Amino acid sequence: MSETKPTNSSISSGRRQLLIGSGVLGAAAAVNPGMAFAHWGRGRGKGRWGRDHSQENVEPVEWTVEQLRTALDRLRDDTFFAMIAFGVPGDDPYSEYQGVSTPYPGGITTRADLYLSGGTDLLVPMPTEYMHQLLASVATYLAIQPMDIPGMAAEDVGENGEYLLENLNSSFTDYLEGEASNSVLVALLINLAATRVAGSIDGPFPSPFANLSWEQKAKVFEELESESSWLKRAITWNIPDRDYREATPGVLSSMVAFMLRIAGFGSYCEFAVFNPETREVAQRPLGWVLSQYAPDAPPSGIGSDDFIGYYQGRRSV
Amino acid sequence: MRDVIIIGAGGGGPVVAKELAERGLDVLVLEAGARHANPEQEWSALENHMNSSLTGKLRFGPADPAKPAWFRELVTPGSFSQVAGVGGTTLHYYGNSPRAMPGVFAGYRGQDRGMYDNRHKFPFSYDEMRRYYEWTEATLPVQTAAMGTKEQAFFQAAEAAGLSPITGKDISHAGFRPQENAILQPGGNAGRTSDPSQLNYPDARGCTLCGHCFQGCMLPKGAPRNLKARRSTDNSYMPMALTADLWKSGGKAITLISDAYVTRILSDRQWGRRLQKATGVEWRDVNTGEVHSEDARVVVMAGGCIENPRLWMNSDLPDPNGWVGRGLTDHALDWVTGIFDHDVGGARGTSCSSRADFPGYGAIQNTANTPGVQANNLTNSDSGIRGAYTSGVGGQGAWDGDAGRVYGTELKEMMSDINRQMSILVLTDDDVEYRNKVDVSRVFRDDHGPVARVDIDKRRRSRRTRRNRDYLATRAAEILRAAGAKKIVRNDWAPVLLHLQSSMRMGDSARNSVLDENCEARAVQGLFIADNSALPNSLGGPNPTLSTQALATRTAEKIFQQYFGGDPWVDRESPICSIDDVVTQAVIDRGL
Repeated sequence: MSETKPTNSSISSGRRQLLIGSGVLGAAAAVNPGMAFAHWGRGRGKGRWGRDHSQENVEPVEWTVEQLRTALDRLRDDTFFAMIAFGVPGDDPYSEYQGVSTPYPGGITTRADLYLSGGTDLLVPMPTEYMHQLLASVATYLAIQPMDIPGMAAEDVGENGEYLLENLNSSFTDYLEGEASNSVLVALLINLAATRVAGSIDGPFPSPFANLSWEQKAKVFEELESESSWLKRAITWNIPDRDYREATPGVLSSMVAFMLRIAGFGSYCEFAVFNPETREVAQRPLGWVLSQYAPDAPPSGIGSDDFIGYYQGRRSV
Repeated sequence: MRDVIIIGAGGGGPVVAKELAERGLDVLVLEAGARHANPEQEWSALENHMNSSLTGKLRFGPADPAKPAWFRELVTPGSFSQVAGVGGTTLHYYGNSPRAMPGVFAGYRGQDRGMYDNRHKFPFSYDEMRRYYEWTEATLPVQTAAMGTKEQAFFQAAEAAGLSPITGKDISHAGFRPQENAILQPGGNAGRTSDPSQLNYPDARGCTLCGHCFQGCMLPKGAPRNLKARRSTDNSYMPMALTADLWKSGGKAITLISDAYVTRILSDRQWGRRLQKATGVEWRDVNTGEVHSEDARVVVMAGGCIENPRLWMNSDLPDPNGWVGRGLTDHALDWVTGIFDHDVGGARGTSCSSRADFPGYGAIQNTANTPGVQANNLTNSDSGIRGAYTSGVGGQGAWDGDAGRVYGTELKEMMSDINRQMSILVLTDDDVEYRNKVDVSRVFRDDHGPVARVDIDKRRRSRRTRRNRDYLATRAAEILRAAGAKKIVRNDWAPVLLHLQSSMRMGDSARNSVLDENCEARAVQGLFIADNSALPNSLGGPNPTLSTQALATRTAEKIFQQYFGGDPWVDRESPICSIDDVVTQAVIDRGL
């Protein structure tokens, strides 16, 4: 773990680590590189936040909440693609990058990511104030127990960089005041855990989690499922409201368990090809193809010829 | 003023409703969820459409799919698998209707009497319960299940593993058997063809072996509602309750109001042994938000193990011994799966038609699974991801490798042919423990008040519960091995809150029970409970619905005797079956 370096920034070091480690800054930069740190870029070969002199003359522009929302939604999508590839790998880029893939389609092709995203949003009716306190607690924790992300969170980013980081922080706060979604919150926490587990994460995807190997992803969930989870501790320890604080481990566990299970259910159910008008599948779901289920569908069967008889001829006891 | 108001139309409420309607009482049933009046026009056989706990037809939530499901807070890892609506969780149950282990009743003298949760027994004998079982089994009706590919494979494997068949309804020794199911067995073309044109009623009667029990039973197509194959209460007791005036002389049809969420039990303080007296209920129309109330001589809670404690606490009813919501049992469910190099019918036939019982330990049962549900089951665990981490639990045994979640390429490989899987559900005889509880959340509330909060920590279950669960998982693996499984995986599930019992338990001691020996609240006169929460224990492992329905029948008799001066009937009359021609005609005449 690195020590916190002094900074003149109005943003606490914990908040900086939260914004960077959870992928918020990267996602925002990915949506509109011109809005990123004028002298910072990203990409393979120069470190995740390596300097990019080609953008030095870009004028700083303020992030709006809507722009940030777009960025965070994309980060969420990226994270959830990676989650589905983790559970049910296929022949997609996320599976290939994690080092565990199959020569035929997996969960991403079934769009289980959409199922996961929609489900996570509905899973827990999080009060806005609760979400605020939860993220604030993480930031406070990170200020005291910073993550090992070399030269990132506390580095002098210059006036321009400070301005942009403050603007991003302000927009993020405004975003949380509005209709912040559970799925984005979960994506941020998973990415934060990914950063915590793997340190500086280089790769082609905006989501730090998406840039992990399959084994590293498993380590992230080992951390998230642990009774002594760092993230549970970070989220919980400084929530001022006692009731929120006590509820948090259970809420987090529910969300993590849901993520892990729904990667399976979403990949193998009919979700992606359901026609609500007919209450039937428009075509045979990929999950049914993968599992060799109901080879004659559609339509769904209403009976089978599996009747053999009665055990020892017993019709009643 | 009504004679009786029943809160909840799940597995137990409709039983009391039908029995008292048959006696001519004025009964109002309030159900928070939907009334699925036209399943053939509303349902499908599809997993997400029907089973999604968040958006599915069979969820714990309002009828309007645009509205979110009703949330419950979980303190420890787990997931809910309950359903709101007329039929309740029986809407997606498998119809398994075994009797309880005799060893969990008062007065049991068997040689294995030391094997049970002896501090929390039924306050009456198994002999007394047997007549209510017989009445309920005849009413539903319960029938011996037919055999398909997976049942044949399971029976052969059980024999090879050294088990002998159980040939009676009473469980007297360890062994295997066809399920006693609340399912009409195949008749006509049913079970003999997959051609949909030959599967309409009456050409097909009873179970068509479609493999979609979990998605709700609406088959055979065209059958009157009371002749649908599976005897969930929306197909059995509720049609009888709604037509009691037509098939029973002196009977009186109940009033059913769905989308009616009861938010408060009304009561008055009184002097005497019981601190208060129930006087009625207050409910909220889920669609309009309007609040209504009605008075009644007797109130029956049947909202389930989670909602009953919530309603009790939100109604500020007394809890003098601190047992309201306590002692929750869940059968500590677990999942063991074998992979075969040949077809064992893993996704075919009725969802569950074979089982093995182990008195003192619990039971196991073979299940058929649709692909999404099976993937969901294989990815549930409290022991991490197989091959990656164990979360400090894991555990090796008769299965292959560490217990844990199947993930990544292993999941894909195991799911590559669903009919080559044989999955076994473990039903543990788990202990009543004070620390496992339901109360109300301090953070989350909805339109009906603070939501329920559930705390059942799998890792801190009693030593006997954990021993029993491991024993059953081992026996399941042995059976799968005897069947020729090439690979066997134990999941070590995190709690799946499906078989819930005993959170408002009856008992023989005022120190550790909410209900007396008649299922009347010790602290509130005229308030009875008639669902799984009233059970005094986890029944020794067997599936709870039949026992709840038998107990609810007994409770209906007690209500009729104590509050309406009537006579008991179970010993004196013969039950009318829910598929009797007089009931069918009544159902047709009333347009149900």
